[in-house]
This record gives sequence, C-alpha cells and structure tokens, in this order.
Amino acid sequence: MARSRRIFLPLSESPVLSSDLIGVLPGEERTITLAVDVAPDQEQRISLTAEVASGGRFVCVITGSCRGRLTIERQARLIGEGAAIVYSTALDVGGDARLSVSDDVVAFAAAAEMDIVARHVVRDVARAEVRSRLVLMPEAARSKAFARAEQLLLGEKPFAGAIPELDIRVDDVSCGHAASVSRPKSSDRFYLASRGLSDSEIDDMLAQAFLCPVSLV
Amino acid sequence: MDLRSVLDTPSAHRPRFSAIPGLSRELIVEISRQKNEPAWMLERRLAGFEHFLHADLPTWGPGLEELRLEDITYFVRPDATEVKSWDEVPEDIRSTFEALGIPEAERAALGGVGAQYDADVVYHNLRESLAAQGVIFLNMDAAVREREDLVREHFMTSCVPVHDHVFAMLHAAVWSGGTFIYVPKGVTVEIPLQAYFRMNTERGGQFEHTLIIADEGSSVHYIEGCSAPKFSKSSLHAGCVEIFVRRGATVQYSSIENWSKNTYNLNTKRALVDENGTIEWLNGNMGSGTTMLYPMSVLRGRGARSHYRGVALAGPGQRQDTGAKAALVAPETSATVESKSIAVGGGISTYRGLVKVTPGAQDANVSVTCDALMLDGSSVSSTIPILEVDAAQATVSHEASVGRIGDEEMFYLASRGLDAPDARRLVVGGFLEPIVGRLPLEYAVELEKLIDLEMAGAIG
Repeated sequence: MARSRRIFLPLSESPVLSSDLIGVLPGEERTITLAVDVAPDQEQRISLTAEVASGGRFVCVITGSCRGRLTIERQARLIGEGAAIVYSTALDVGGDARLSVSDDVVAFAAAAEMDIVARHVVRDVARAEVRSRLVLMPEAARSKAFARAEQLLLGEKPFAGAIPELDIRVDDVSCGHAASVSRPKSSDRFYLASRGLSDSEIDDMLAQAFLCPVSLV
Repeated sequence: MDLRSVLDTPSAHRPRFSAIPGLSRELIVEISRQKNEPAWMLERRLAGFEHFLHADLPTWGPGLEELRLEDITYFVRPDATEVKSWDEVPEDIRSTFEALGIPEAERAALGGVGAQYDADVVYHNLRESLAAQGVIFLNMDAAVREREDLVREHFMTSCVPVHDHVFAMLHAAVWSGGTFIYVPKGVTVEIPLQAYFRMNTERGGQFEHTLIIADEGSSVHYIEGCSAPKFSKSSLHAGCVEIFVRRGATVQYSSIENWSKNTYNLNTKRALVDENGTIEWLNGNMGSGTTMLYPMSVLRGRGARSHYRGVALAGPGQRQDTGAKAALVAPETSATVESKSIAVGGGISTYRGLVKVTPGAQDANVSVTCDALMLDGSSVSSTIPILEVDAAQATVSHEASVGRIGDEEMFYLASRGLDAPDARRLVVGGFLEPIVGRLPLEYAVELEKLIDLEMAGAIG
C-alpha cells in the first residue's frame, strides 16, 4: 500500500505518540504555562499526554519565541463526564525556524469540552505546521469541540500550514474549526509607518498585537 | 416504475462484446484495436498500464481492501452503435434512458446530449445552431479520430497526466467513451450540454473520459449524470474529467452522481484555468458505496477563479470521502469552496480538501466552508482540510461545523403541524438549498428526489 506523497500529513495519517502522562483528577483544575525561547541552533521538544477525569479541567498554554526547531506534541483523553481541555499556543516564529504543533484530543465521555487555539506569527523563512484532531467517540454526547489555527505572515518567504481535523461519531454535539493564514493589512502598516516606526518595529508591534489574545490571557 | 426501481433494475440487454474479468496488456491492445485508434493513443494506454502495474492503492481515505480489481470486467460493449435519434437506439437500452428522463430533458432544456451504456456511447446529438457556431460536441472515441490534433495535445498530458495517481493510470489504460467538447473563441453556449452514463454489467467498470476545452472568452455549462443497477458484486467507476479554461472563458461543470451502493466511485476531475478564466464546480454525490472524489482547480493565470459547491449524502453502508482542491499559482487568483454533507443511518461522510498557495500567487484569496449535518448517532462525520501558504501575500480562511438538527427547530416545525420526518426533510432541504438552488431546475428536482429516496431508506 502506498502512503501519501505529501510531506505535511494530517494526524489521522501520521499520528503522534506523546510521552509524559499527566493525570487530572475528578473535579481538579490544573494549568501548565510554558514560556519558550528557542535560539537559532537549538532544538526543543514538548510532549505530553493528559488524561482528564470527570469534571476535571486541564489547560496547557505555550507562548514565546522560536528561532530554532520546536516540536510540540500534546495528546489528551477525556475519560470522565464533563472533562475539559484547553490547549493553546502563541508563538513568534522567525529566522529559519521550524515549528511543528500537533494536538490530538479524544473524548470518551459525555459533556466534554475541547478548545484548541494556535495563534502564530511566521516571519522571514520560517516554517510553521499546525495540526489538530478532535475526536468525539459515540459516548461523548452533549460535547463541545472547537479548534482554531490563525497564522500571520511577515517578511518575504515564510510558510504556514494548518490541518484542523474533526472526527465526530456522535450527533448530539457542537463542533467546529477555523483556520486562517493572512498578512497584515497595508493600511495598518501605512498607519504605523506614518507614526515614524521602522519596518522591523512595525513587524514587532503587529506580531505582539496578533499574539496577545492568547499570550496575555 | 418509481425512481428507485428505475435506478436499481438492470436491463436485460445482452452486450455484443464482454472482456473476461481482469486487466492485461492484451485487453488494452484489443480495446484500442476495436476502437480503431491511432498508434499514439495505444502508446498512451500502455504507458498508463505500465505505471499501474507498479503503483499501490492509497492507504489513506476509506478502505479499499475489498475492491477486487482482478474481478472487474473492464470492457463491455452494448449491442448498439452511436445514433442521433432516440428511435434508433435499441429498445431495451432506450427504455432505460427514457425512464431516467433523458430524452425528455433533451427536448425541453438541453443543447446537446450524450448517452453512454457500459463502454460505448449509444446516442449523441447537438443542436444545429450550436454546431453552426463551431461548437464541437462528440463522443470521446470519435473525437480521437476526428479531432486528433486537439485530443492528442490535451488528453492526459498537462491536466491529469497518465502517471498522476493509481486510478488515473488505470483510467489511461482502459478508458472508453465519454465526451469531447470544444467551444470556439467568444462563443457562449446558452443551453447546457449533458452526458448520462449508465453502467449495466454486474462487476463491470466504467471509465469514461470527459475533455472540455473552452477557448478564449467562451462560456459553456456541462452537466453529467450517472447511475448503475444494484447488484450483489462490486462495480468500479474510475472516470476522468479534464477541463481547460482559456483566457476569459467560463466553464460550469455540474455532476449528479448516483451510482448503486455496490459501486466504487474513484473519479478524477481537474481544471486548468488561465488568465481571468472561471471554473464553477457543482457536485452532488448521492450514490456509490465508496467514493473518493476531489475535484481540483489549478489557477495558473492571473485573475483566474474557481468556485466549488458540493453536496454529499452518506446513507447506510456508504462512505463518501469527497472534497475539493485548489492550487493557486498566479497573482490575483481566488477560490471558494462550499461543501455540505449529510450523514445518516450509519453513513460515513468525510470532507477532504487541499488549498495550496504558492509564492507566485500574490494577492490570492481563498475561502473554504464545510458544514456537516448528522441525522443520527450511528453516523460519522469527519473533516480533514489542509491549508498550505508558501510566502505569498495571500488571505486564506477555512471554517467548518458539525452538528445535528436542533431540538428547537424540530419543536418549532412540530408546532406548525409537521410530523418528525417531514420536519427533518424540511430542515435538510434548507441546509442544502444554497447549493441545490444553483442547479438548473430539472436537476435540482432530480437531486431533491434522490435525497428523499436516501433519507426515506435510512430513516424509514
């Protein structure tokens, strides 16, 4: 059998196996916030699997800057009724950096809540690949699942890719995903330039503004 | 006879030639010999066959493990030749097309019609007014001989190359029948042209080839329909549609696929769009057991546009793996995709799409919307969109939603006196209306009937 010839594959074709199991007890709320700063010749990998019990809530927020190679692989299993997960990333990716974010969440019980947010600025010749997969099994009635991947391109030759997957096996749910790749409006740049900012200062200001809905929450 | 019976019942027609099941070099040479093809077409077939021998089936998508390619009969010729009058079509074939409403549609609303039965076109006709304008509407086999220059340049060369993927390779080897359309510069074909493909042979295959060339500034609407009887063994449809939209031209391609549930529908459709050209896809996938279909637009000229609208209904035992692809390689190009799918009675519906924006596509704009409606808890709905933006000054957006009919909507309709099945049907109709409403009225009605059939069968 032949694999796809593509390199950038969806999680359903190229799943990840995360390490570092984190258990969230019934009713427990746990938050992990990571600030990364990956230098140009550095390589960093963040890998975790969360197992969330009934009424539990797990939040993992990763913010910062990447100028090297950063791989983020997060899985989650929502095994109890009312379990919730929030995975978000807000990263400024530049130089010839390589960013890969993979978020794979499965709900096995009712009334689950999943919220995946990726908001990245991709500059210079950097490459950012964002994949997510939300799976609602037949037992996950009354669940809500949403994934968002928004990427802002700055500079000459950045690459941004997104594959937000949904795999829904129960009907009584509310699910969606959204993805966008865009550049700043020329009118925004013009306004800032008219206030005396240089091109690089404009880029930095726009990047900060784009990331703050995730990075500052 | 009701529509379901018409679609599911095979004709008693006996073919004049039926190959033994399976694929071989000898069969391909025989197909070419029987069609009296030029040597270059046989070479192209054999090239496809050679590629196919070394290719593997895809591992992604719905499983194809139960597809037995060695059991398929690849070439079945009806005991009929192409005619221009329905009266001359053998009665047992004509009655099938009459029951499907094809002759009636031609009289009422079409500029030209082609009707294919298994491997051969049995009826083909074009209004004289269109022929006088230089419009060419031929069956593909005839076009190979009569328009050799055009066909040789465009047939599985730059749009869907022979080596493109395993089912394109297979198609190149065994294709038969189909439609060739050429619209001269500046000509607008006001009335749609249609082809209808009927597969009648158990464990048969249909591999029609559609080649449309819309020259500069021209405009044409082409509609395809298809069906096959319900047998206990699987059939295979691996057709190919190649569309060349030249500068400033507009092509609207509409297709309503209603193969029987034991059919594997593994079709390839692609358009190359030049400067300021427009391709509009309108796809209705109601039938077949397993479908893998992803119409693709390559926007290679400045200002080229693509609009895709698709409806897929996955009922009991069906796996509809459909979507749209767009490759934007020139500046100021734009693409929109609107996909609606329904999963019911355990059906599996998957939207699989690709948007690829290359560095040359400055100021490109893409918008993708896919919505899925699940009518019960036993069905499955998936979306797998891939977005790739490489350097371009472009704006790409995608959104998708999956859900069911809300209790409030059902309550409201019940309060207005509708029972549950009627209420559900009304909501489904509203869900699909933005796409169905763009079809010519006759085809919108047919599509609505097919949806009614599928939903009645699934819900009871």
